[in-house]
Amino acid sequence: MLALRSLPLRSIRHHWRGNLAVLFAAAVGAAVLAGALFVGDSLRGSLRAKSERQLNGVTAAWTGNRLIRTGSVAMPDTVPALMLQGSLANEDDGTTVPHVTIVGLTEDGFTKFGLKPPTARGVQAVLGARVAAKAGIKVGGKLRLSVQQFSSLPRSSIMGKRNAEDTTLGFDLTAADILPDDHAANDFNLLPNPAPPLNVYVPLEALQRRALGDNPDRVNALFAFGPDAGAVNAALERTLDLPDWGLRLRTRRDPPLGNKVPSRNLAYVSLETDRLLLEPTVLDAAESSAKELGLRTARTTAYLAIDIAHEKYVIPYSIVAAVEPGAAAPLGPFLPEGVPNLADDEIVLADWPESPLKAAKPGDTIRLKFFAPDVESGERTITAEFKLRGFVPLSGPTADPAITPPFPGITDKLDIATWQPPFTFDRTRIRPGDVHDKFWKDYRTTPKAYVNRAAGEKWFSSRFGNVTSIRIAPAAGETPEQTVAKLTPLLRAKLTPASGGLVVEDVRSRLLAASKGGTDFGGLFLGFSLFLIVSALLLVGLMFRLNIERRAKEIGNYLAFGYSPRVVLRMLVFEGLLLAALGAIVGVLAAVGYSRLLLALIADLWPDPGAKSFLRPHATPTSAILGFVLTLVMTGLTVWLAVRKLVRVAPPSLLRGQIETTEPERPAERRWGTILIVGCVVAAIAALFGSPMLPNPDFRAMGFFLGGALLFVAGLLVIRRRLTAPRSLARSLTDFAVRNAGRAPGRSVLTVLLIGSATFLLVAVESFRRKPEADFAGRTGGSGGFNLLVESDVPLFNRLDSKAGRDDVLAGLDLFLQRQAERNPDADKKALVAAAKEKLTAIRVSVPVRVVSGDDASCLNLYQAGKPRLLGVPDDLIERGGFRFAMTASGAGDNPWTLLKQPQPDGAIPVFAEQNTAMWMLKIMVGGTVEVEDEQGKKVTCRLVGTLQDSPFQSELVMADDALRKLHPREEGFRLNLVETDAANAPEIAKLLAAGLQGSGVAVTESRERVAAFQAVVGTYLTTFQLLGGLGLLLGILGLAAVILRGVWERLGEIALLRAVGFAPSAVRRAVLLENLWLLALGVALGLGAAVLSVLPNLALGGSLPWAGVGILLVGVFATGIIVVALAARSALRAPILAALRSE
Amino acid sequence: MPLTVTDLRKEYPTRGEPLRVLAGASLQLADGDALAITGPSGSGKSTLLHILGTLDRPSSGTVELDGQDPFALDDIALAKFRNERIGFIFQEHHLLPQFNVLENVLVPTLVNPNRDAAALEAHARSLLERVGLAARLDHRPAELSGGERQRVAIARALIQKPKLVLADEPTGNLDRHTAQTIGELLLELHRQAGTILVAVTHSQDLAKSFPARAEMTDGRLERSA
Repeated sequence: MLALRSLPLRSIRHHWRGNLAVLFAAAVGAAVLAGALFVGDSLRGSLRAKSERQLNGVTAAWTGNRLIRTGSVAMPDTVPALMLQGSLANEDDGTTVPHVTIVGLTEDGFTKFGLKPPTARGVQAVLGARVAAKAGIKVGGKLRLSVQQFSSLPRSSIMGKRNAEDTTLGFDLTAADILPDDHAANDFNLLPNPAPPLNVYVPLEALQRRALGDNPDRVNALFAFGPDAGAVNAALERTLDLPDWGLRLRTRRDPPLGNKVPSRNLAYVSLETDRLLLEPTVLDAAESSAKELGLRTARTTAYLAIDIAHEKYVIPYSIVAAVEPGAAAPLGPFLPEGVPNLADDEIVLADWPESPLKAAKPGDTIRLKFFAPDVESGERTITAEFKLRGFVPLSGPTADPAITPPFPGITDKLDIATWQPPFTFDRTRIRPGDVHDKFWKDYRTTPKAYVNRAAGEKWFSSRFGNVTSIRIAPAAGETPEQTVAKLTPLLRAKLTPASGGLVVEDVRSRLLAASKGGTDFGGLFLGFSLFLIVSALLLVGLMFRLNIERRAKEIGNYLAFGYSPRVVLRMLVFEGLLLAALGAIVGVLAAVGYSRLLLALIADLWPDPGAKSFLRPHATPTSAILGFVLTLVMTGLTVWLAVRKLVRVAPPSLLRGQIETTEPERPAERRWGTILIVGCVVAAIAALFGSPMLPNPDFRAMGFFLGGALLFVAGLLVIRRRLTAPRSLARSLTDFAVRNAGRAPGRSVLTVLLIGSATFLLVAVESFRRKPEADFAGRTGGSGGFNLLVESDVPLFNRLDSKAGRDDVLAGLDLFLQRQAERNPDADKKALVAAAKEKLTAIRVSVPVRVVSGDDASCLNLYQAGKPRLLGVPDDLIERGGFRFAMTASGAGDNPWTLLKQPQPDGAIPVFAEQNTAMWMLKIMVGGTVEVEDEQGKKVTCRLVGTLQDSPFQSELVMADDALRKLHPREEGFRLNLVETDAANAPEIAKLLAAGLQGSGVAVTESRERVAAFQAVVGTYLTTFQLLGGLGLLLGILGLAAVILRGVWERLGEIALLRAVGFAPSAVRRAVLLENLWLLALGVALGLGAAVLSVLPNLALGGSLPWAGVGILLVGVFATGIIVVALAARSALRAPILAALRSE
Repeated sequence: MPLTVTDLRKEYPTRGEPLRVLAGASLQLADGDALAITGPSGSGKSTLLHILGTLDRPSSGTVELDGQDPFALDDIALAKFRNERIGFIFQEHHLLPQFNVLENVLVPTLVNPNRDAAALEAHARSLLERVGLAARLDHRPAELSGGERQRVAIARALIQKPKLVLADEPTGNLDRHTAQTIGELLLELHRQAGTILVAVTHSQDLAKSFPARAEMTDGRLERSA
């Protein structure tokens, strides 16, 4: 039975030919929309798959710079490992590969990673495919590995060694196996970073022996394959012992003993560390444990003084101790008789008969000269003056060499003359047999002077601490050994792994969370495809409208029968929705293929070629449904917009087949139209002339774009007005053709809009394409004046613009050339080194920057950066200033870098970030906050106080070095050096640095190249947008084709009349061609004109436009248009004249 | 009077002076009356018919059908009024090509959700039998001759038992013989249904067969018989 709801279905079936075009347009819209969503799915799916693969089954992991015993955690599915960063050199041809990760695994670990453990003798390695390819190595090939030498002692302390030869060590190994390209172990990486890792796997024991020297049974990583982080942390908490903290509870003196201090037994327990200084966590744990047992404690600092002097008399190289002077035995006292305490500026000297200072009297000034505690940037001496309080006899607590913790190379030497200290030491000041040598033999490391704790904290503190031991007095009647037995379990319980930054992390969850992506690619591609989607929707509307226009009489009929306009509109919209639904289903299916094409496009265009290796198509039901629903909604809306006015046309007109009633423009309407046109032009001029003054290039580009868009709108309004304006007599075929273009002004304007807007977008977005600005190399440009970036795996301690730094480079170069000499004996090594020495003086400035590893927060990283890399810049860079800023917080003054030193009211750490990184990756603006972790894993708030523009710091947060040292005190040395040299010398300097610092795994990049790589990401997005926009233009031309064919069909009688009155077929063809080419030309001219005007200011500022590409685009558009129009015109001339006249 | 038209005027705006199509047309018709309106092209005949059928609004003047001014109604009420009280027969029949003969006749009835579909179908079949198309119910318009299509259009105009039937050049596209047959059929059915019939025509033969005639001159209606 016929019903109202079945009318649309009948109509769809009957008018199926015309509906095919609507279906096609809806399918295109759905394919583009769902395709964009599928691209987002693909990215997330690919990153997720990549994450799972790169984890190699690891669910939880700890890595750090603390070494714990290999057997610290013995739980199933958890393996210990040693992870080092270094560089690899092919012994045969010298090819060096920096940024290599060396993983030492147990046999179980090899199995878990799906690797076969090497069994041959010597250090055998399993190489990742990429490493082998870069190094040019085959199975059996010989390699030299350079890694950072572990040091328990802080290298930045006076006892630490900092030269390149001390911070790196090298050893040979053989390539036992090379992984196939598709092996997951090639990609093992616990961080969500884009760079494909370069992995080398070595048996743990072999690596430990080579890399850890005297203390080989240590690891710095744990991998759990299945257990969660909580379980492993709990196991760690149970099994971690004092040696894992580098702690020992000493009750006996270590040999050699002093002649006058022969007893090995201590009267107290001494808690000491192999890290030289006790960490705050350890101090708290020790003191609270002792308190629980009711034991007394005393913090002690033993420090080396270069001189203890009174007037002209000097004692060289002696121990000074900062103690609690009034502590009761056995922890003290250290006071002369009758002296109750020691003030902060007072000192007590040991009374030994041969002391050069024995003539000093209480109240005299005693000068202490010593090295500053933090010597990271070089040795520096400090002289402090104290007032002598008196002398203490060398007996009991004041004759205790154990106050000074053991230090290999010093405390274990029989003679001072045989000391091997890391600091500047003048051996000639102590001669064998002299009083100082005698004291050493009698009393060893017994302090010769004492100050109080406050003085010790003032003069001997560094970021690593200021306490070398805590001495604990046993309870009454208890031996030190008994005290140790009671204290140890308490101390272990309080020293939780977390408090030492030893936290096993749920790496799988973190990586999977990061794989959701920093940028919503689905949304991004929706944005890119917006024009294409709009074009498809416009095409839907146009096709549907053209179909309905052909059925004008039918609509008139319904209205005449008494169907209300609302009912008729509902029927038409329902018809449109049914078509949309069918088209959407087809389109969503097609989206699968379309998204694959898009993905292939991104992979091709993406600056990082590694993206191709893991980007794979994915499509989720959610995206498919969303694509379907959105298409349905948008198409329904488009159809409604297209036909809503049709049902308002008077039925008599509809019954005559007329769908547009052209009424003349009323004066008020005309006035408002003029105001709008003038307003758009004025605003456009303001935007185009005002934008060059904006410092931010992105805002400049937006201003130009806006100006062009406003000019486009103004032009479109003018065209509409001209199309419908009264005209003088048509005197030629051209006049006739142009007049015809205004016959259906709505359609004509829509055609001009479609083609013009596509042309405008394609050309105007070029102004967003970025490359380093002209002043990039200058101090106030993006590079800050630094043209080279020197990045190393092993931290460098000596500045490259200092003699020590240059010596490091030359020493490394010497070694490099030595190896080269084996292959090229004719090379004059001496001359080369001499030339290099000369060349290195061209380094004008080198600024060392501290680096704490983390996630790459740049736009090259498709992952979401959760823990961004941190950079600490020194005060001299802050004072120097420079670089280019996009935005800064208030109070910047002339030098925005000073903002990094301004305390924040809430204690947040002020940081900078690159503008794009802040906006797109971290999603914060100036004033916003982001959390980072300190060394203990505790969350710390940072506040963004400025954003940089076009800087090389696009992957990280930048803070003052002081602040970074507080967060990560054990992050020593500098893994990034900013080098300023003149441009002509830069390439050669880069080569010298890379060769000379090869052992430290150095890679040197020009800052321009680095920034260009980041800007290329924007270029990728723009190119994608333009390609999709080009597709939109194609759709626009298809729409034009439909309009032309429709128009010709509607005017068959008119065309037949022209022929009947004597127009030759060629003239008629020319008229049809001219009419439609006129519309095409208007669209292209409007779009191109507005775009060029919007790009001109950018061109004046040094930008460029791909004129060749624009030319090809125009030729393509016109060629397609001419073909389509010519075909339509030909079809019009085929109809017989009389039949066409009669049907009119 | 069931149909009263008083001083109906219609103007269209142009760039210059407004175009005056109706200049004060008036008429009164009772149930069962049949009026043929003739006049030269452009005299306003069709405009008058469209206004009587509420397809267009007058610039001034009134129309009342059974005391109801349809132009005082809102759009939905006006559509209902037109659906229930007025039937149209057009020169071009305007049959919908996607429906068969029976369905074309039933199309005006679909808009009423409370209709008795079975009764309406029976009525449609009866009408089609009276117009001689009982054997062509499931044929599409493309399968009918011009005269047969116009018969369907007549049956469609009467399906809702309208008060007023308006015919705009009902025989304009037909040959002489068919036109005569259709004219007779129209008047016969009008008589049987007791409707008010107003037809606009150029055909003097058709006009003569109507009991009442009027001439449209310069936008005014003048009764001639």
